[in-house]
Formats: sequence, structure tokens, C-alpha cells
Amino acid sequence: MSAAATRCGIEWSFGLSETMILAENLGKQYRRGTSGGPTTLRDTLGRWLALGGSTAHPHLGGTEAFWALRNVSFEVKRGEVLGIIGANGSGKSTLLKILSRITRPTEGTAHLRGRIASLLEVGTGFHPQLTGRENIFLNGAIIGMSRAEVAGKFDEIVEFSGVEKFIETPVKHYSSGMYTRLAFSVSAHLDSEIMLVDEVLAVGDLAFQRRCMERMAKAREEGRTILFVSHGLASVNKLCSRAILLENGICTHIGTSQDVTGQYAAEASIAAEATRTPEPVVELPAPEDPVPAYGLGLAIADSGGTPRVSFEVGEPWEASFDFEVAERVPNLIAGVGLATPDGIPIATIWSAPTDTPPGRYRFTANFDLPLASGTFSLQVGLSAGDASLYLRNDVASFSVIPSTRFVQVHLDKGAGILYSTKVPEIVALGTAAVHAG
Amino acid sequence: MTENEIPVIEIRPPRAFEPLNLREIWRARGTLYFLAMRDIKVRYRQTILGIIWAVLQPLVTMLIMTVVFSKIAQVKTGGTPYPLFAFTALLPWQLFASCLARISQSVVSDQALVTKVYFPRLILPMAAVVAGTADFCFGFLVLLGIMAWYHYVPGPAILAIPLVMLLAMVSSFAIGTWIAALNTRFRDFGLLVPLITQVWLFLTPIAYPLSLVRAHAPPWLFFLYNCNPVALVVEAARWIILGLGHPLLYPSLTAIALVSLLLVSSAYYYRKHADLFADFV
Repeated sequence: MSAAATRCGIEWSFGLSETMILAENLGKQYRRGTSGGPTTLRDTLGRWLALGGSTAHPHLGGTEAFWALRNVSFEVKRGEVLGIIGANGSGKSTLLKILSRITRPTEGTAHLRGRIASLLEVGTGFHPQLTGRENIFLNGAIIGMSRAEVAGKFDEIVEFSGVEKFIETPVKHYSSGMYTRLAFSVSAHLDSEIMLVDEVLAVGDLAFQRRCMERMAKAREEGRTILFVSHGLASVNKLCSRAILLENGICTHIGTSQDVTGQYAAEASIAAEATRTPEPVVELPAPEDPVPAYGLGLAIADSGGTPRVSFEVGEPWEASFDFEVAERVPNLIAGVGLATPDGIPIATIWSAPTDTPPGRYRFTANFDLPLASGTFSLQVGLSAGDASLYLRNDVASFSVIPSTRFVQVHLDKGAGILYSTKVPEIVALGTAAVHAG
Repeated sequence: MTENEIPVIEIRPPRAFEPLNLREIWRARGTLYFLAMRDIKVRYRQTILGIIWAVLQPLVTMLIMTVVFSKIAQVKTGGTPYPLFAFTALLPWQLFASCLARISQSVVSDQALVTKVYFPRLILPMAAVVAGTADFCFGFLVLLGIMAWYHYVPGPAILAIPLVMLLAMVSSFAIGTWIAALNTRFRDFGLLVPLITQVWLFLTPIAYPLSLVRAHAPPWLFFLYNCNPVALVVEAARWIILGLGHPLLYPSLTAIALVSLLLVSSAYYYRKHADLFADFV
């Protein structure tokens, strides 16, 4: 890529007066077997006895060490927005966990100047039995606000959340939207020098995601320092001045966000072609916890019912979502959503609410949209009225390839997500005027 | 705010010996207060029912003990009405036992916090202890009721009851914090708590008087028996409330030394592992 995308560690300066975050050689080691959850004493004793009383075998008994993050160094100046990108499991969350002090690094150090607010923790500590008012104080205290601070901002927080009428009601009676708004409002009112934002956690609720983005843009204008973890390369480009790319726990690129996202996109597309072949028929894993309704599978097919993953521009296609209803659901609504590979929703089709007895069902969504060439992703969901029962993003993907077999349109790369068949004539407005100055 | 006032947070790997950082805990006292208030409010939200549950357990235990130990086994309590004798000991015992149960589960039950936000982790067992005192306060009112029933007038020594509470709370904190820390690593440690509590109840002179143990145990065993910090708590409660014999000096000092040792070691053990809880819970 461009020469501006420097390898990690080279681009480096110590202007501590303006440095808000300085991370030096951060590393985090986990042991497989322990990081997957707590063990029991019974297991550990059993293993210890099996090894003849020796615990000094790191490679026996499934305690293989691996580095989730290694040698990560970077510096963030005051007012800068640094994007962190990388595939799942590349160490982004581990890095955020270390910087927000939820866990500690195995090696290396980091220095942060000032208070840290993180939008990872929206609603942390909310208790369903407590009222809105009580939860504001509790949550405020947990994220590091003093009681006086919360009291001073109380009216503002309540107004921003828009739940004034229900502030003395236990939050278990809130709708999920009210709950999220209140929780977000508390987090948004923490004055901090540094903000940590993980966009992944905002996916699924578009309104909430937009609020996060607005809040972040405002914080940026106020000159706050922001660390922004995202999958969406477009939002990184839009919001961040610089970015770092993590791959397998190692920081492989650091530079302007354009250069780093470009680098990532190029590598990701190579990797995707090598590894991921889209399947037209996808089986959905059964949910771990019992739920009243859940998805079984999703199939993408052409109008003749043949499963396919690639369509020509303008060719009709449809998505069939199979699901199982385990117990009677009043007002069951099935939905299939269409999104870009970045996760930006394009359209959603919902079924009409129906009182649904247990059984297996199919919901076929025919989008009938003028999709231009590109890759698209599908998501599925089930809900009972307003309450979501089941939601899976990026279940299947398919591509639309350029062709003029179905529609006669002018298709250039970068023309957009949708095409239009309109070809208006250009109308002459008269001779060109010569502008002064 | 000027540049110099902004605190610099240092993040580094855990050291072999991690300082307790009591100043940080002091700064986070607001969090402690609200976490404790949350537990108390949730417990007493349905006010009448909440208070009934709080006093029902020691009351029922007292009734069972009265039937079994006083009526059937004919245990002698030297003039004190048996229900009063038992309840005076059950109350601080209950404080110890319920705090122990809360603390041991504190990290695991608040794992949503531990995995998402930073605050000094020692706040969790501390809040559990503070929340545990609410039940005691309601139980104390019941004790006053029982005393009135038997026309028992307490002396001014009853004002020392906060000291007894403190000893019960510190003892449960010292032991519970060890269990809480171990519970994040080995989830079955939490399962041990009911068993430990059950055995402990009978190793403490609650249902029977200390004189019964003195009469049957050899001196060295009797000394050892009195090194139990909860025995000291219970005996001290009977001493100041009912005016029965004071606790023995040397076993009591041993018990206090034991609790202090456990307290310091548990705080440091917990501190050392606290910042890695998120990796395990």
C-alpha cells in the first residue's frame, strides 16, 4: 500500500504533554483451558493426581499458552481519534479490555492521562428491580462518577433519556428502548478525557448505534481523545484520523485511516477468497438456551427455487428463512434483513404478526430491490410484537455480478448499492455565463 | 482543569506482590455505598415480606433449637431462658454466616460488572458485608422483643454490640474473601460454603452453653475450641447482652490474631488475582 502506512513501532514520538495514551509493547497471554472459563477444583485436583503430583507441565492437561496480543505500541495525542481494525480474534477486544483496566497485560505498559469513559459498558450494573432514579446513581457510581456529579447532572441525564415520566418506576417495566436510552444517557454524561468505543456492541440496534456515533462525533468536536474499535471501514475512515490494524494479536500497520483501511480491505478480500466460499443454504445452530422460537436455516434461491449464491444484476432472488416455534408465540413476526458486508442495513422484510402455535415454519422474503453489483449479507430475526426473540447477523451472503441480461443499466464500479434504470436527457439552460472573480 | 490535575493511569502487568491501594478504595467509597444499597433495596423492596424473611430464619432456628436442645435434650443454660440464650447467639451467627455466603458469591454474582468495568475489586466483598448488616438490624429488634417478653433488662454493656458486629463482619470478610477469590478459579469452592457453615454452626456454642464443652473436653481441646473466632463473637454477645461469663482471654487473643492473619492474607491474595478476574469468570 501507500508508504504512509508505516509498520508499527517506527512512527513514534514522545511529546508527553500532548500524549493522552501511550502503549508500549502491550502483550496478553491466555492459557487455553483456563481462559475458556473457570475450572473446578475437582478437575484441577484430578489432573494434578494424574500427573503424579506435578503441575509443571504447561502443555499437558490442555493449558497451552497463546498470545492474544503481542508487542502492541502506539501513541494517541490529545483530540485524536484512533481507529482499531482487525478481524474477529485479532486482539481488538483484548486491547480495549486492557486499556479500560478490566484485565491486565502480561507484559508491557500503558499510560493514560485522565478519566476513561467507555461505551462498552452501557447499562452495566443496572438492576431490574431498582427504579430509573436509583439505577442512574448506581450506574454513575460504577462508571466512576461521584454522587455530587450525578446529582448535578441528574436532570440533564433524565431529559436526554426521555423517560422522565417513568423515573420512579423499576426498570424491569421499561421497554428495551427506554432501558437502552437511559443507560446510554448515563454513560454519555461522564466527563472524561479519553473515550473507548466498541462499535461491535452497538450492532443490532440501529437507533442506538446512531446515538453512539453522534455522541462520538460530539466528543471529537470537544477535543476529546477517542479510541474507536470497528468492523466498518467506512466509519473508521469517516471518524478517525489515524488507525492501527491488528492481525493475530500483532499490530501490523499504523498510519492514516485511509491507508490502513485500504490495506485491511485488500488483505481481507484476498483472505476471503481463499477461505470463505458462500453457501446458498445455511443451517443455523440451535441456541444454547431454550427460547420460544429460533431459526433453523436460511436459503437463497433464484425464482425457480434453485439455491444459488451469485445473481446477475436485476435477476430476481429470494431468501427463505426456516424457523421453529417451541412454544406458542402471540404476534410472532419473522424478519429477513439485507445489509452490506460492512453491516449497514439496506432493507428488512417482516411478516405480518400472527398468533403462532408450536411447529416448523418457512418465511420467504422477496426483496425486489434494484441491487447493483456487489456483495450482500443477510440477517434473520424473530420477535413477539416488539420484543426480540432471536437475531442473527451475517447469516449468509451472496453476490450480484455485473450483467445486462435482465436490465439495461449503465453500471460502473462505485455507482452505489442500488441502480436506477432512469436515463434522463440533459436539458440546455442557455449559454455559459462568465463568473467574475 | 489544568494539565497537572489530570491523573495519569499506569497499566502494567501484575507484580508478585501487589499493594492494596487503600487510597483508591477510599476514593471508590461511593461505588461501595451504591452497591450495598442496591443489595439492601432489592432485598427489602417488598417491604413487609423482606423484613419477615430477614427475621424468620433466626426465629425458626431458635424454635427448633428450643424444642431439640432444651425440651428434648434438656440442655441447661444456667437460669437464662433457652430461647433468649439461643437467639442472642444466633443473631451474630446469622450475621457471620450470611455475610460469608454473600462475600463468597460476590465476584461471581457481579460478573457482569467485573467483565465490563473497572473499579477496585475489593469493593465487592466490602459491599456484601455492608449489605449483610441490614438483616442484623431487623433481627436485633426481634431480640429486644424477646427480651421484653422475658422481662430482661439489658445493662449499658449492650451498647458494645457494634464491636461484636465488627468482629463477626471482619471474620466473615477474612474467610469469605479467600473463598470469593478461589471461587473465580475453581467454581466448586462456592459449593463448599453451605457445608462449612453447617459444620461451623455446631462447632460454635450456639445451641448449647460453653460449660457443656468445658465439662466434656480435655483442656487442650477446650482451648482450641475457643480459638474459633465465631465462638468469641457469640460468647461476647452473650456477655454484653445477657451478662453471662466473659470470653476467655488467651483463646480470644488467639482468635483475634487468627482473624487478623486471615484478613491480611485474604486481602493480598484477592488483590493479586482481582485484576485478572475478568479472564476467569
